[in-house]
This record gives sequence, C-alpha cells and structure tokens, in this order.
Amino acid sequence: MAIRSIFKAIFVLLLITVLLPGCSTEIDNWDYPRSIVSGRFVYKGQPMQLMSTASDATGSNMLQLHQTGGDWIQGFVKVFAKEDGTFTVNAFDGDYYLTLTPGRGPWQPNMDTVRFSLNGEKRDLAFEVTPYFWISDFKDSFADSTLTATFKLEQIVASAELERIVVELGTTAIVDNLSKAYEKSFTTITPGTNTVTLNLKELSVVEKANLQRTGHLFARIGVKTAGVSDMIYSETVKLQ
Amino acid sequence: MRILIGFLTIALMAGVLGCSTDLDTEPTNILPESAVFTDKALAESVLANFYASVNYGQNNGDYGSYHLLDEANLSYGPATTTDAEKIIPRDLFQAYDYGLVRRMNQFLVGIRSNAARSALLESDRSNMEAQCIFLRAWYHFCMARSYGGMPILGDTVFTYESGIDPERFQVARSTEAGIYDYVIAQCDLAATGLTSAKTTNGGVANKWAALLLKARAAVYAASIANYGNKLTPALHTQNWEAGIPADQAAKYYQLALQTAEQVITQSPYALQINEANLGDSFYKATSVKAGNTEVIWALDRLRPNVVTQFTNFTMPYSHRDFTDGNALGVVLNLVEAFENKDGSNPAIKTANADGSYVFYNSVEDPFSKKDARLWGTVIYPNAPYRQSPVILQAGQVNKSGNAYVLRTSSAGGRDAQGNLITSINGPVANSDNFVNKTGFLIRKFVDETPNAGLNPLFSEMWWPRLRIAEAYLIAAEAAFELGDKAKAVTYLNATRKRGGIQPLTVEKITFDHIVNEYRVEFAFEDHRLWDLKRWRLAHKLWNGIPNDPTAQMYSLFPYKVVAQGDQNDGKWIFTKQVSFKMAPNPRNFPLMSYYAAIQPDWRAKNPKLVNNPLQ
Repeated sequence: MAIRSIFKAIFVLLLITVLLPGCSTEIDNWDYPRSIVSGRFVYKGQPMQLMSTASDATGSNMLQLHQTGGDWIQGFVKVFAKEDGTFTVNAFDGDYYLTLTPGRGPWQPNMDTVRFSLNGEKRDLAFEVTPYFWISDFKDSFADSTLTATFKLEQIVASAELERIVVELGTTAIVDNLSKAYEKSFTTITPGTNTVTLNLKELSVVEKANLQRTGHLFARIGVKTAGVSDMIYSETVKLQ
Repeated sequence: MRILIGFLTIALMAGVLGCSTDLDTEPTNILPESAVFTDKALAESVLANFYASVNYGQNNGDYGSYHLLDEANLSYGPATTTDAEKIIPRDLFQAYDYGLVRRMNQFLVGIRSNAARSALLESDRSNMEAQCIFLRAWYHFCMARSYGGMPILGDTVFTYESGIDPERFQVARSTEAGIYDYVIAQCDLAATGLTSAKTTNGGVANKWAALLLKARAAVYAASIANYGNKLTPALHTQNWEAGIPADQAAKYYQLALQTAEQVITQSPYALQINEANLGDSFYKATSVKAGNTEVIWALDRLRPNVVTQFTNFTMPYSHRDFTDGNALGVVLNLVEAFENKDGSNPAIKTANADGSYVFYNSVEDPFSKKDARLWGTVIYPNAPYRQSPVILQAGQVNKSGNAYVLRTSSAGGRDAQGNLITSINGPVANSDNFVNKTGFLIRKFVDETPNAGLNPLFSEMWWPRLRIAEAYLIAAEAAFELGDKAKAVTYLNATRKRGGIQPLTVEKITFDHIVNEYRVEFAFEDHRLWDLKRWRLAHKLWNGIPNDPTAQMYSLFPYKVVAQGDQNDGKWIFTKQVSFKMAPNPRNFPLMSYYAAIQPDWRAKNPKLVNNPLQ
C-alpha cells in the first residue's frame, strides 16, 4: 500500500472518530441531583449522638431513603448520618419516605416512615426513635493523663439489657465502635449518675503508640445494649 | 478514494457470495448440543466445568481466605483496618449463581435425551446424570448456608422468547427448611445413580459424597431449628424463608444421625490413624493423596493445568522453594483449642502468678503435650517441615543485673558470639514481609513434595470437601442433641483417638466438646464460619470486644535464654500478645451477618423475593 493511501485511511478513521461522538444524544447525560434532604435523629425532640457512617463496614446505613410512585419498585438511597445524628442527602425532586434499616441503630426497631415531597429542598426533618438507653449531662475532665467522665445513664426501654459501657479513644474527631484506637469496657455500671476514669499511663506501649499517631486525642462514651449491634454515644470531646 | 472503492467492492462481493449455500456449513468452533450428549468425553468435559464452578468458601487456592476468622492471620504488611476486617461481612463466601443452575438443567435435559440414551452406555449416562444432580445439590447447599431459603427451580430450563410474560420466571424464595429438604432429596436421588466405589483422589463424586452431604444438610437444618430459636429468636422472616421452626429440629437430627451412621458403617472409607505417629497420620489424612482412606470428595489438582500456589506462599521462608513464604500465621487461639494429652488446661502458661516468666526446657514443650493433630495442622517452633526443623524464634532473653530482658534483631540477626537472635522466619511484630507474625505456621495443605512451591508447576495439593471424619462428628452431634450421650461419646472418641487425647465419658461430655472437636479436626477446611453460624455462636464468640479471649486474635512469641552462668541459660520463655496484623480488629460478627442480604436489583427483577432478617 502506498504511503498516500495509508494517510487517506488514517484521515477517514480520524473523521469517524471526530464525527461519531456527535451522534450521541443527551439521554444518558443527566445532571447530578441538586435537591436537598436533611434532618436528624431525635428522641423526644432531643438530638442524639450516633456512630458516624464514615465506615461502611456493615454494608448498610441506619437510614434509607425510598422514592415512591411511578415505576419505582425496589431500591433505596443509603443515607449516611454524621456522629451528631444529622444527615444530608442530594436527590431528585419527587415523593419520598425515610425508614430505618432493620437491625441497625441503638433503638427499638420500628417500621415508621417519614413521608415528604421533595421540591428543591426539604430541611429539618426529624426522625423520631426510641433508644434503649440515654446518656445525658456528660462532663469530662482530663488531667495528669487521666480521663474522668461523669454522665447520667437512663434506661428508656424497660426490657433492654445493658451489656457494657465503653470509653473509646481515637486520634481523629470521628470516634466510634469501628473507628477507635483504644477501648475500655465497664460492665458493672447501672442506670443513674456514673463516673468512669481511665488512666492513660496504665496502657501498654503498643496502645500508647497507637494513641500518639496524630498528636490529637478524642474520647467518647458508648452504651452497648445486649443483642444490639450499634451503640448510643456521648458527644465527642477533645482531650487536652 | 481508491481505497474506499476497494472496500465497497469487497463488501458488495461478500454480499453476493452470501447468497450462495456454500457458506451454510457446520461451524468448526462450536459444538452443537446433539454432539455433546452423544459423546462420553464431551459430556464429561461439561461436567468438569461444573466441578470447577462450585468452589465456594474458604479454600487452599486462596490463602487470604483464612484471614478473617479465628484460625490464621496474614503476615504481609502493617496492621490494617479494612471494612471486612472490622466486621465479618454478611456477604462473606456467599454463593449466588443461577446461571450455573440453568446450565446444569440444560445438561440434565441433554443427558436424559433419547439421543444420549442410545449413544452412551447406560451406566455411564446415569452416573453422569447423578453427578450433575449432586453438584446442583451442593450448589444449593452452599447458597442456603448464606441466604437461607432461595428460589428452587427444579429441572426447568428457563428460556426467554419475546412475548413471554416474565412473571413466570419470578419464583418466590423457598423456606429455609424447604431448601435443605430439597438438598436432602436431591442427594438421595443422586445416590441411586452414583458409583459406590472410591474414585481417583476423590475427584469425582460418588454415593458416599451424596450421603455425607445429605447428613450435613440435615444437621445444619437441625441446628438452625434448635439454636436459632434458642439463641437468636428474632432472626427469622415471617414465612420462614430464613430460620426453621423449633419443632423440626428432632426430625433433622434423626435424619442426620441415621445418614451419618450409614456412611460410617457401609462406606469403604475409614479414619486414618497410625498409632506409631499420630501427628503425621493426621497430616496424611488431610493432605496426602497416596494411600488416603479418608477423603470422599475433593477438588483434585493435577499439573500442569490445575495447581495451587498455597505452598509457595505459606511455606516456611527458611525452607522456600521460590520467592515467597510465611504468608499465613496461625493464631494462638487455634493452637490453644487443641487439648493437652493429660487433660490439663490447654492454655499455654507464659507467666507465673507473680508475673515472672515461665521457663521451658525445650521450645516444643508446650506443644508436644498437646493433641497430636496439632502437629498435623500447624508448624510450631522447631517442628520439622520436609524433615528439617523450622526455627521460629522472636529473640533472646538476656540477663541485665538480676532482671531478664528481651532482645530482638532484624530477621536472621545474630549476636557477637554468633548466636541467633531473631529467626529469618520471625516471629516479629512489624510490617516486614515474608516473616511470621503469630509464632505458628500452617502445615495442613502445605505440600511436603520437593519443589511444590516452585514456579511454574507449583503444588498438586487437593482441597478435600468431604471426608469420613465428618460423618463421625455429625453422628456425635446428632446423637448428643437427641439425648443419646453414650453414642455421642463413642463417635466423638473415634476422632479424639487420633489426637491421643483422653477419651470422653458419658458424664463429662458437653456441647462445647463437640464445638471444639469440629474446630480442631476441620481447621482450615471451610467449616468454622458455617458451624458457628448454624450453632448461633458466631456473635457470642466474635463479639468485637478488644482483648476478649475469643474475639481478639493472639500470637505467641518464643524467646531463647542466652545468659551464660544463669540457671535458665538455654531454656525458653514465651510472650503472649495480640496478633500483629489483626490487632486493631477484635473479630466482630453482628447479628445481621447470619444471613446474607437479598440484593435490591434481584428484588427489582423478582418482586416475590423477600428480604432477609435485619436487612
């Protein structure tokens, strides 16, 4: 084949390459959803502290966003919640409901839904739940490498069984059962006002090294109910 | 332009030629079904593909598949916190392949056709048909242990043609009891057509494989009915697609006992026990094909096409054939599960009450008094591999004043006198590769054949899926649950005997003995996860609590005393610490992991599917 005809062949190929994309229609080029849904988990109107869904280790989130009407049969949007129980998700306009993922969350299972129509934005949705236990009046002090935390533990659901209280330490502001550098359990605590202490000097060399990774230290108290995977937490405090 | 005209001419010519009937010839690269099912070799090759398609779960083709449970941890790199390491995922080892079921059903149609009946010997034909039925039952079993009940399609080959209402393809989930019933019935059906003779290296399923699978399915169903309702009562769906009603337990236990006893008394298989060398005979029972009397059904491997690199990756680095080694470290938790021969506390004592070290005369002392099956499962310090000892030494203990101090070095390092400090095999607690991190290596399935770790031939080690020891344990478990402790003791002692440990008595036997017997007998054989699931023990043992004795993985590091003039010079001490690679992740099994999730897109296609509990 002569050199010239090779160039011609390349030219034809180039022409095809340039012209083909022009044939595509707009149908597969959707804009990402811009409408906003936001809200938080509450118990009797009070906000609650949860595990943040920074990790998807369980493969599920506590909250699901379902669209209704039209051809929607199955499927939902996983709603990621922050550690303070707030959530924000972008979606297309339409009719929706929020529902709990069975088996997740430190609360009594229920199939309640929060229904709403989304048009532009829907803010300050309150998702009401009944936790098994409730932590309040959390106060902490950190002196001489010893953390002293005082809190009030209330049993909300009479049938719930308290498994343990944990103090969890982490090197970032996200501290929970799955994102922690150290955990200490207390199994003898009963509902009422309690004080727990944790002396960091008593930790092993490896544990101390794990807590020195970032130069920052955060702590949180968690309440584990027997037979329930997720814990309810106190707010996260920085130790300094 | 000339070139375009050329193309057009060629296209035109092709179009004209296409009208000629000369092109309507039989394709040479595709075999029509009629040819496949009239030729024994071709039909067998289709079956071979099914055999290769049913490798579900933990297996010795992938050493990484042992990392997430409580048997062994990986040794490469730093400690990690992946999602799967934090929480044992509910989709772990799930099997979902209805395409396979359809291909199997196509095979059954073909092998049952008149053409096949007239062309093949009836004995060959019915045997192949039965093998396919068995493999389909095995698939359904492997699916059921993750999902519970799932759609059962029977022999129907679903084929879509335009205009068909897709609703007839949408089959609802069976109950969990229903899918185990299906497996049991299909095993019975397969057993009538399968040979009752042993097959070469257990590579082809026979009657005893079908009956042992039947016994296994029955005991799974029984324990889910029994413990599911006792320990996790909320964990079932409204119509029992997941979970089995408690009143069915006894029926399944009876079936399991009866079937397991049938396999024990009638099959040509026997437990392989050589009293002269119990440890070695246990290794041979699981990992050596020659003269094996124990393995009923296995994935057999043959060079050069079907081999495993398991030996290359996990063999002691000091003994390496090729470039790798020490990839898998057995955890102390498993080692301590092996009982002591004298019946004493199996935990290995590392410190006295006052905190001082316990000195052992030999590094093997804590292990040689254990169940001999430990030798056949694990390479412990100084145990031989290919006839030469494997040195596992974390460091030295030196004397500083009156105190003992630990001294470690880089792997293979020596002191000024030339004494070894840290062995090239480790164990170490750092992120180096090719060194052990737990103090123990794996022996089971690591090939003793010279050069079994060498590229490109690697190892022909098989993967036993069913072996006769399981019949004894199923019989023991079922008899125990049915209240016949005498029988349970007899069957349990049959396998305990191979470890040289003390026989149990009717007064002493507990459910924990059965749990532990499964653990030590079937370590690394894809039993642990499924057994703990069906007994509903997984969330109790793997509770996610740091430093919990069953959730946290531990390692055991041996140090040699090098202190001239000291009374303990030449002795050994051990330290117990968390397993390096898994240190941040105590094993955590949430309740939701008892049943895998039904995927939303399956439900979109088939709205009759219902979700599993906690989904």
